[in-house]
Amino acid sequence: MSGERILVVEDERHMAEVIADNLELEGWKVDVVGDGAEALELIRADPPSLVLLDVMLPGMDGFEVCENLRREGNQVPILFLTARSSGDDRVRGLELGGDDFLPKPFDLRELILRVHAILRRRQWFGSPAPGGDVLRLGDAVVDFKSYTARLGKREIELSQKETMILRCLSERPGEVVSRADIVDRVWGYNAFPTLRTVDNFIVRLRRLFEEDPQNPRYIQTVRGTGYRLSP
Amino acid sequence: MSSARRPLRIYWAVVFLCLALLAWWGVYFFRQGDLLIERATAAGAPLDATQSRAIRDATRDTMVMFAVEGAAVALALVGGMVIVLKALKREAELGERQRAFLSGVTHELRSPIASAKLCVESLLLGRVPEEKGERYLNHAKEDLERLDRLVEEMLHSSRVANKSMEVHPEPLDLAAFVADLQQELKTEGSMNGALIEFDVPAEEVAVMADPVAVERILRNLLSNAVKYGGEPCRVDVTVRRDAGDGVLEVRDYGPGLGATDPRKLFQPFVRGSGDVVKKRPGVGLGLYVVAELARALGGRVDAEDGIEGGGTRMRVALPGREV
Repeated sequence: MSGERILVVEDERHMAEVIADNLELEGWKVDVVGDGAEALELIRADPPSLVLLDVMLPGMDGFEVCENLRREGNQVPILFLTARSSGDDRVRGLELGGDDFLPKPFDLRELILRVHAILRRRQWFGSPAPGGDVLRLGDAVVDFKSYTARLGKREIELSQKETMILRCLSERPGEVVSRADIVDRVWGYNAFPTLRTVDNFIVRLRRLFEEDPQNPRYIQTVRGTGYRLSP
Repeated sequence: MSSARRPLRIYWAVVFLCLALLAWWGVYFFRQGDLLIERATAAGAPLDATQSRAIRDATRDTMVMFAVEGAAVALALVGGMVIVLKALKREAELGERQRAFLSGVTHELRSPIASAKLCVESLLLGRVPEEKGERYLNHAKEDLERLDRLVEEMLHSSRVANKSMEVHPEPLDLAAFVADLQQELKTEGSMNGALIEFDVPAEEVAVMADPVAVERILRNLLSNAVKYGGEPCRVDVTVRRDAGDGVLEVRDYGPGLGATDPRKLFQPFVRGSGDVVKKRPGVGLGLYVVAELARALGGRVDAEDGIEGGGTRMRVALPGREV
């Protein structure tokens, strides 16, 4: 997985240096900035493969950086690092579109494993889908590349997670995909969502693509196990 | 109903029951004379006009007594309710401040721990570039020293909060004392990206104060100003004599306190509410320590926000002495 570029946004000098050295040892190229606004500019100009984003930063905090990026449609993967590990912060990080959340002080090996996991997901999602980058659900056409779906004349935007879930299901059409498999593929092992989170995403996807969401035709529930896509 | 709120609800119920009983007794006393007259008539022994008047007079006297005493009781009950409500509001505010304090302390303590742990872990796992081994050890040492300073500061604040810190006032020239510290503080300020300017008179500003306490006051005020003084950060330190007092002022040119009342800043766990303040680490004890030390020295503190040119001015007045 070398060739990936990681941006470390951290204002604690020692912390930033040691994280950067460790990531470089894994073969990744690493840039370091200590300021939220500067990080935002850098990511806009040239999005890295992953951003390790501290929450408490001078100028603009990590949450604001993430919020701005997502509002602009920038889906660069973000791993939040923070010494404030309250449940509220965790939930806020998730709501703003963060990919993972690691409270300080953390285990070095865990950090590296999580970075690997996020990059692996990114690689999976960035590679061409086996059945093509387009999924047809009746009249609707989903484009995995642009995170959009065309419903007749209407084009709607999907979130990255919604698109990832559809792609995950579409790779095994007609097969049962467990909720745990979806969480693993879309969020990663140690990520914060519960299996229930998957159900919430499915409810929204059905509202978009099913004529009768109560009796779904395309995204079916397999009781006690998971979901099956029948395009 | 949570267990903490149950006693309170029982208290409200008792208060309202007492007020309702008072009201009922009032009605009963008011009608007592008429009832006696009606009952005598119903029993076949109607009272004559003199007897009825005597009963009504006695009833009126009872009513007057009841009105005075009942009003006193009702007033005491309502007063009690107001006091309880105010105490609850204070408790809620303190709880909120302590939660903010805990969150700040957690961040302050975890940051150096996380950094030192990462350095040591990298060394243990052999994941350190050869030429950087010693550098990592130095990083870890500096992080632990920072942690030590933080713990010391919190212990100091705790001693002040428990009023167990003693001050030993002695004759002191505030101007000369600050002038002596000037170079050291300027250097420390520049290391943190701040330009600190001193305006200290050449003549003596004679006060009665404990030099250790005055240095702590000045350092806490400066640390605050540098932390929240914006970028580029400029801080002015002024010493002067004012109406017999020795005055020490520290002024920054930052974005100010936001919606926070400047007077509340000297209470424990209170921090400004502006964006810059929220983003900077801190627990809200520095200015509290300043205020408590100033009070122990017989002086006073105040803060001024929204001043011309921007920023915040903190002022400590220490009791002067005749030279």
